[in-house]
Amino acid sequence: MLNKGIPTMAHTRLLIAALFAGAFALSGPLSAQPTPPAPPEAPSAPPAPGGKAATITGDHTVEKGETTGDLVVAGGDLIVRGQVRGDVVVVGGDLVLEDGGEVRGNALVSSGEILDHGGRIYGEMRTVDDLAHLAADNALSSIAAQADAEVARHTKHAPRARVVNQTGEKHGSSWFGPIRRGFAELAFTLAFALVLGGLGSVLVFYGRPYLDTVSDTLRASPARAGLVGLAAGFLVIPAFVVLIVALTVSIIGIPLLLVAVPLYPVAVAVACIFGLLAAAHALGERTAEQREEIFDLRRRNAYTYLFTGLAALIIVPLLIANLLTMTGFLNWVGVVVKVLVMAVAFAATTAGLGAVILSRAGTRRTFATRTGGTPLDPDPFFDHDSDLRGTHA
Amino acid sequence: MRKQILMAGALATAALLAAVPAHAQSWRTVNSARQSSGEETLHLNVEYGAGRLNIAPAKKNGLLYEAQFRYDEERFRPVTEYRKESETLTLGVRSLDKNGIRLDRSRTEQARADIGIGAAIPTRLDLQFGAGEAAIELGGLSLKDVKLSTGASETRVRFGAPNRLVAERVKIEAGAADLRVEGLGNARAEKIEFSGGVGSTVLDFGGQWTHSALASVQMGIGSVTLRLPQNIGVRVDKNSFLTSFDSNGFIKRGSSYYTANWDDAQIRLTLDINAALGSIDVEWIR
Repeated sequence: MLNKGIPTMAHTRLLIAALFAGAFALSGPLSAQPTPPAPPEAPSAPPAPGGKAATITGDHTVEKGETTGDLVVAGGDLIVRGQVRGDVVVVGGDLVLEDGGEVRGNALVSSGEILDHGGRIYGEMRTVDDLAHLAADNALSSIAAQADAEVARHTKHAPRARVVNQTGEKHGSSWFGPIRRGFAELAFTLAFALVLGGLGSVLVFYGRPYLDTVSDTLRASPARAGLVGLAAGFLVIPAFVVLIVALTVSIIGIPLLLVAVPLYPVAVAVACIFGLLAAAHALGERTAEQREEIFDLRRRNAYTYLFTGLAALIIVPLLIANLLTMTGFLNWVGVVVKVLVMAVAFAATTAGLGAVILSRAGTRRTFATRTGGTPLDPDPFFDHDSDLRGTHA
Repeated sequence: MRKQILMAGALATAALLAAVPAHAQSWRTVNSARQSSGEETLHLNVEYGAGRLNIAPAKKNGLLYEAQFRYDEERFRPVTEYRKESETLTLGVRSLDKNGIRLDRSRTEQARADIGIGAAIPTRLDLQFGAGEAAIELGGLSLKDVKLSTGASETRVRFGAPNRLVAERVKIEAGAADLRVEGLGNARAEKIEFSGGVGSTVLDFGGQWTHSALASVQMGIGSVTLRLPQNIGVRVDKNSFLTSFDSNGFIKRGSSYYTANWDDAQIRLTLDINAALGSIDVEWIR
């Protein structure tokens, strides 16, 4: 079965990278699906008599004077004293070429050796270390797949070989593949959640007033914040260039280049993350207001808002996408979900960045005033800052 | 409460550091070989992007080549293409990524290719090596032509034994490389061409010289050390910009530098040096 379009770890990493970069996708192409080069040409060999390869389990000998076509031997040695007018695949055994023995095509041996005692192989002699890597060669792919199926039948396991066809797509992966991939992505998503949660916790602990201000700005002026964030996204590179030129031209500013050049991208990245966290906080706060019966007094604090927002915005949808990936047949839905998460996170980061800019990183409340304020009562423990009381929960 | 929260944050940070999974890698080893079948001239192309590359004469007689590749199958695939009609063989690994090879030390340091070349088959070798380390022993082969291109690498090329044929040319192109070529006399080349971009290069012209040769050295920025045998006549034509030249052992006549034995030498090496910025040092070998 073709596994075209299966989401890989790269998807998740791409998504996460995009989230961190936010509106400032400075990098080049986002998706780089591997496109293998043209396959190697099959070595010339006379056509084998018959179509499908003969499949044999256990030791086998092609006797002197005997001629055969493509041959697959699983779980035993193949001794060639006669002539094989095609390809040979031996799995779990050795290929022994006795004096005068000939293989007119290619020879592939998995978990074994090619022992030449005076015979001849006209094509390529290849040994591989693992059945799962049975063939990456166009010339041997079909016969190798047959060998794998034979071994699977013999050992009562599903085929494990991953045969690469002419376009480089991998065939015959077991159905454990999506589960394994899903688990890997799941682990990555959880790690990502821990990163965001950790950063958010630090931000709340050390800079909650600033986070509140940015969050309030975003809630009070979402359209303005979105437009400013979008504009910032377009201007970030030109501004960087202008900064470098200005510092260079001013001569005196040249030493400052050493600081400005590395610091600028870092500052942009920090602003994006700050914006995303503020957007998550705003979403969590809004959710708390709407679900007052759920968010009782103990849960009305910045930590809860932040974690709720992050979960709703990114983490839970990503986890769902990972679970969908595990099913294999629903992986396309998982891809759609991931794309949606990426779009939502992009929008949230853009708007959050705009709010960061409007509020001067949370130091100015010009655009943070909302009519009516929050309907929730303040948390007596967390909301002890008198200057912020009544403006948010 | 704040302490608990701080601790939770610290734990979360520590956990995330431990939880970030490493890039999935599937390292594979493939052995490949082919018996020779009366090839008149083998056109051998070796393409290797990043990792450790070893090339030497094949250990077994009668082989066109023998090779072992260790590679990350998620990112590369081995290449062993042979076209009988044109007698062209291509060996190496190719990236599955259309954007080429991304250099990542942790992912390439395990990558390795060991290639043995059939010694008896007349061969035109075209070797392209990207980044990493290469140890290339070409001594004792039957080389008609050698072209070697290396990028940001540490490369050692050696002609440890005389070439079985007279080579038309040995051409070496180096990017930002630390390159050492030993025993160029054993290459038995009529023409030796070296061009380097940036880096440090040692060109050792030692070995068993059987005939005179022309050599050109073009260097951008960097140092070139020429190790020259005393038993052949050497002439240096130098065209440089900001490059120092150690002329010890030479006699200047006109615009060229000659060894004292130039007029009487049966075997002569004429060196044409073009260098932009750097130094040209000369070491004499017996």
